[in-house]
Amino acid sequence: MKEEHKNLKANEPVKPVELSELDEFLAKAKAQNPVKFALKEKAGEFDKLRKSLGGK
Amino acid sequence: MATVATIGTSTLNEVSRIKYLKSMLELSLRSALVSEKICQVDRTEAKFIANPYITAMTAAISSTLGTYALTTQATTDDTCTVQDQVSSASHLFEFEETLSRADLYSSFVQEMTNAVAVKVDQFVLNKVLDGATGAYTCPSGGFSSTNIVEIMSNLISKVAGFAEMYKGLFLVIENTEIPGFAAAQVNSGFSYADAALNNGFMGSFMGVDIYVVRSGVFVTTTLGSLTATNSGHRLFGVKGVATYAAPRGVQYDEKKVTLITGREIACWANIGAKVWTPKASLLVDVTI
Repeated sequence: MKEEHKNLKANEPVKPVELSELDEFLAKAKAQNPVKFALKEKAGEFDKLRKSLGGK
Repeated sequence: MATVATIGTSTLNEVSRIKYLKSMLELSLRSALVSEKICQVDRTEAKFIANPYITAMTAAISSTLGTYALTTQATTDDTCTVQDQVSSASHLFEFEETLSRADLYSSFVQEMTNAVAVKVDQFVLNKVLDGATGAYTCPSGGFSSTNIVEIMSNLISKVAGFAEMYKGLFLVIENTEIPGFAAAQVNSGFSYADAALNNGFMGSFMGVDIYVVRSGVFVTTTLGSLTATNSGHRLFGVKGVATYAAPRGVQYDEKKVTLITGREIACWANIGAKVWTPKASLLVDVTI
């Protein structure tokens, strides 16, 4: 059985999401929790995030 | 690996007058760990924790009939899976340990295990927040002193009336929200305000235990298998309804490595966290 294991390196700072990877990141977030994603999208959170990262 | 050049390089003249405060190196500032206070913790060696649930049942009431109606019940699987690992590792050369006046090994292990625990805590808090289905948006101004009572009242009402409420309530905030809370506490009146004025920040407000983590714990980023979109969000809820699995807790290992003196030290924890579906509304995603 192939399973996905993820490794978090404890002594590395959490890397903030970057504009270049934002679309891919948001697609993953939507797939992971579509209900919550829709609520946050409706509240304009991701538009604010995109602007805060220098996007339009 | 230690950069030992900065340790114990004092001149001979100074050495005779130096006193070390501790036998170890001073460790970095430590963050408070919260997830164990608010979750049910499982340290058994299980990869999956299964907790299937049944659909909610209702009872019918009528005048005495002697008959009844059947309804179909469905069960659904629900599982907490351990699929993430937090790790921290380094190599300590023999000469570094031997020639240092401080206990580098103990310092390394303590610092690394703490780093692992802090990252585990962040992962669990963000994972539980992601699974929370209760939702509340703060009034304009967020956790300002004038909003605190309104916010807390609304949050309590979200879970009030459920039997689980009596397990105790919690709110996890970041340290940047303390000014609003502290001001609300000392201005709240009577003995509570006196206690807050005398003793400082109170860990409980309106019956809700307040846990404070450092700024940057709730994040919008990738944390292992979790794509977290939690920046600007906080977590409120009932204690002990989410499960956090950490088989064997934080572990460490030291090993000899070929062609290198000293030991490689590795610390790690395997983790998983789950908000069980029927209880998810007892956890509230608070939007600031």
